[in-house]
Amino acid sequence: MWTIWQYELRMTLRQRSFYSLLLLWVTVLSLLFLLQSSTPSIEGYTSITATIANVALYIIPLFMLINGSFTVANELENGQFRLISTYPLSSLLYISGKLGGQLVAQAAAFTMGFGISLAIGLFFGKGFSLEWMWAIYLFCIGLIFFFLLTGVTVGSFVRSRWQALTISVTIWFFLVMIWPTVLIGVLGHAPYTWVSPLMKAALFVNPAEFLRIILVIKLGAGAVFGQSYDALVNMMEAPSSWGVIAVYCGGFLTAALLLSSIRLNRRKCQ
Amino acid sequence: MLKLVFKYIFTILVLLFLSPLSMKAETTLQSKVDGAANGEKIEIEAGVYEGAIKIAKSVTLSGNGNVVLRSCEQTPIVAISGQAVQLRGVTIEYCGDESEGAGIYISGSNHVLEDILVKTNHFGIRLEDASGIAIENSSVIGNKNGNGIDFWQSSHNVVKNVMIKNVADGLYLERSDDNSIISNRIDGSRYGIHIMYSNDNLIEKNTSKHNITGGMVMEAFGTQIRDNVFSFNDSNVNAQGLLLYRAFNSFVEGNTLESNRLGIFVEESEENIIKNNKVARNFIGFQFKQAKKNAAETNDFSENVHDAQAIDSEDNEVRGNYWDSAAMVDSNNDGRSDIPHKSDPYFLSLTENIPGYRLFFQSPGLIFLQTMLKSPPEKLLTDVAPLINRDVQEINKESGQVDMVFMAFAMVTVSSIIFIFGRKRE
Repeated sequence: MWTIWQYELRMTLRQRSFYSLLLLWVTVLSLLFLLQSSTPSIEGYTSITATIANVALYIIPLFMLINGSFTVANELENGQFRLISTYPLSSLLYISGKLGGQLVAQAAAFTMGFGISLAIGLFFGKGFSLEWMWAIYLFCIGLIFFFLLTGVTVGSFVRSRWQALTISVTIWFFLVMIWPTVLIGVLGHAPYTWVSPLMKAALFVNPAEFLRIILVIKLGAGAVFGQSYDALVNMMEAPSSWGVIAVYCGGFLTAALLLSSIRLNRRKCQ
Repeated sequence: MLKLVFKYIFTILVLLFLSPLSMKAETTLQSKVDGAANGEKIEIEAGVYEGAIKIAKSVTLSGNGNVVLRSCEQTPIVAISGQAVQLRGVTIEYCGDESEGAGIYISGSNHVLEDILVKTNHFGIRLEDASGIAIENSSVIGNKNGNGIDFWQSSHNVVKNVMIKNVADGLYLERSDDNSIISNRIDGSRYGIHIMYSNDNLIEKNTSKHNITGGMVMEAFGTQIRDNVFSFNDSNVNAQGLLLYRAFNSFVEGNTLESNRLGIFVEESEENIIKNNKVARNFIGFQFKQAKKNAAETNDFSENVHDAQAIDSEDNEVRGNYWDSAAMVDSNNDGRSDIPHKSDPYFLSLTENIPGYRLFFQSPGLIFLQTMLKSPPEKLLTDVAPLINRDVQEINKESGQVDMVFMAFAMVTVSSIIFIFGRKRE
């Protein structure tokens, strides 16, 4: 697994195109941080925070899905996977290594971009609250984690990179762009009292929404969701919420890895 | 056995001897008040007085040193009636369980209370059929059970420089007109300032923070709300900075509404003027609901997550406000933008019927849906001529963000190390 992990990391970091992603983060984040010149300090849940979170939700999942699915689909397409299959290496370890390598590379690129943008912001006299910075940073790293994971899983199911791209964009569009539309449409047929419980359940299905809600709550703005979610907000405000988040991440990771390794095992036999 | 009894008695005696001397208020203070002539000044010597007193003649009572009046009975500790009573420099501790119990009860007219500290288990100070009362430079600290200062049918009174903490409603006015509430500070309570069925009151320069609602005006005419600060009323699901509910002809000017769940909420209210307020960093800046003929002018809306929304509201005049989210073009240089600023009420109308959808607040998908399903123009909250430049500009740049510089440096360094070592061949 560590060989795959290291190989994946090296291959990603040696691609020139990878650094265009770094450039993208620097550009987008710097512009966002410098967005409002009238504001001396960025903290709490304000319009700037909401804008940054939304831009992150638009671009990070899409890029991560494509990256994650391509890295697996590419090896399936060019025959490298068949070659690797001849080694005594389980699919689970293979896919974990792939994911690990990508995760480190992408997180490093984002961290670099975030750090540079932060420096640019500070240079231009912006202030940031430490708590705010950690909240946004962890939110983005969370997005990278969940959507790379989903991407890698998608990659192990597709036949070609073209298919990987189509499915990635579909998933992104479904989870980020039309998620409320779909839920409102579906829940419109459910009894009135079921809406809030079903919304809560749906929250755990969509990692993008899950992370967004946690970000808002951790920034102390959970009251905006109203009475129906008071218990949820209280739970997520408590320190024990990190346990819930860890369990959720662990569960998602296990499910995705198992699913893709089972699928790849079948492929080996074909 | 006998030894044990002696030991017990001895302990009690020692405890009695060591405890601070407390006097009966009925015998010491009350007799002084009863014996005094009208207009006489009575000095209260330092100490703890147990029990309640009644003051019905115009005398001045002032504490000399640390004077504490304490009682856990049903009756208020100090009951003031008649005319021109003055009470200064005492601490009142009401520890009773009577739900209507209060530290100080006031009726009559022209009394003055100054330098009073009320610690109460229920109400702090109650005014009933009182007028011309001045309460100044005092504090009320409660247990969330009763109101800090409670007005009932009391008009023409002044409350100034009073700090109120941890009570139900900081200042509660019912059927009380023409009162002035000035420069008070209310924290950690339910409503900071709560006005019901009361007209022509003045609320000025108060600070109401970390309450469920900063200020609430309900069923009232002609309330003047000026230069107050309503901030950080953000932790409750129904929290807001200022709520006007069935309020008419109010004048809301120069207030700062910052970091609340909802900045200003105007519901079923008419002909109010909302002017020159600073509405910033709220989750929702401004909201009209079934409100008519109100005017919102030259307010400064900035950094609100959702700046404004309105439903079932008509004939409101919204113009010349500064909106940081507005697209602005000023071709004729009149300082007003030629592009009207519009706020879509889609989210509000969606969640009005089914509150469960409030989880979609500012979700990227919902913004997408909102742009697709544009509400008809008559339903939008429109500022016909938004302000180009804001009047107030406060820059208090934080200096010395050493920790942030360090964080930025650490992030770049760590990722560089990963880049360098990750690229290496073994």
